[in-house]
Amino acid sequence: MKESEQQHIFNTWLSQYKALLFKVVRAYAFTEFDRDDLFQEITIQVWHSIPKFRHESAASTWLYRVSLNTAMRWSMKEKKHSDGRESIEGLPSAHPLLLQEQATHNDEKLAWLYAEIALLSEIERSLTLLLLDGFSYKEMADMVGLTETNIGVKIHRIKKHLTTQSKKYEYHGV
Amino acid sequence: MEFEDLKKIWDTQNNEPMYAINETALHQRIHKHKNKTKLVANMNEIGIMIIATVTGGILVWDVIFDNNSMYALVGGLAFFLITLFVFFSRRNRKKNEHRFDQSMLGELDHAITNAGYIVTFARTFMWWFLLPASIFAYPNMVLHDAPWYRWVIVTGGFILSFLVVRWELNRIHLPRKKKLESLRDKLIGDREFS
Repeated sequence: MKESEQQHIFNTWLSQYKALLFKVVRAYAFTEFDRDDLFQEITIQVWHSIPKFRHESAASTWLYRVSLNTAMRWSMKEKKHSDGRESIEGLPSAHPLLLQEQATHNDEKLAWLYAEIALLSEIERSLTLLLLDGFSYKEMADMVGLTETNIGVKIHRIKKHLTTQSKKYEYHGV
Repeated sequence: MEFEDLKKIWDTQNNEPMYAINETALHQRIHKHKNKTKLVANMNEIGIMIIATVTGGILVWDVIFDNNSMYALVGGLAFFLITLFVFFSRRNRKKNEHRFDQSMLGELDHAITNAGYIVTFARTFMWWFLLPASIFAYPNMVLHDAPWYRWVIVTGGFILSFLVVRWELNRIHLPRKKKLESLRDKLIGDREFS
């Protein structure tokens, strides 16, 4: 594959599916610097994945798989930063940041949902994102590499957990 | 709230992107990373092959044109064998890269196999690089009645190489492999919510 072709696909994917990448970043990284770092890591992996994309699935499915896999491994590698980096939040970075939060995007319920997702394990977070974005069990099973039954069991627990937590959230009148 | 309500909350973010991307900075970083990746890719294997071939070549050259030391010849041939071993291991590794499926589990299995390969490579290096090097170095020092400081330097070099590789193995490669395996266990496992 020519580099210009790869660059074209990358730009198209980035413009069409950036919302998908942002969801993964927000679910796995919790400070400005971590989000920046994870976003960079994901985009690099997406770039490298382009020649391997065989059009057997939709581009969105492919991007979800690449970005979730990257996020899970980044999360495993960067766990130590989840405490340490909080303290340097707000300090000027040596490099310009890749992501700038949109001031208009401030939904309290969505923030609560992300906070609940953040409490799940890396694997459960991945499945929750796929579930909320409407992927079928079959698609999830293909993407994750587990059986549909196994996915079903996990999804059942996640749904039950999230609805229980949402009732508590509503009860406290927020 | 029912799950459908949660989905509605989730879908609100589709209408308006959460972040703006600094595209210039992003492209600069990807470009930088691409060059770096090309440079460091497979550095271990290629580095060892170059070092072993050059060292083996020097030793065999020495045997042919300078002296007839059997130790140098054995040492030289051992270094060529190392080059061949690394070459075939590398070829085998590359050949097996496509046997993993493209699911998240498949990618994890691939990463675990690669991490395992690095662990084996580091362990092999400790014996199969240092051993032939010492086969040549020590008898040669005995033959040439080397001064005491040369013994200290050569022995120190071997010990240092051994310790550095062992440190890298225990502090970086093995923990990384264990973490990947634990992530795989989590992916397959049936954990209850705590």
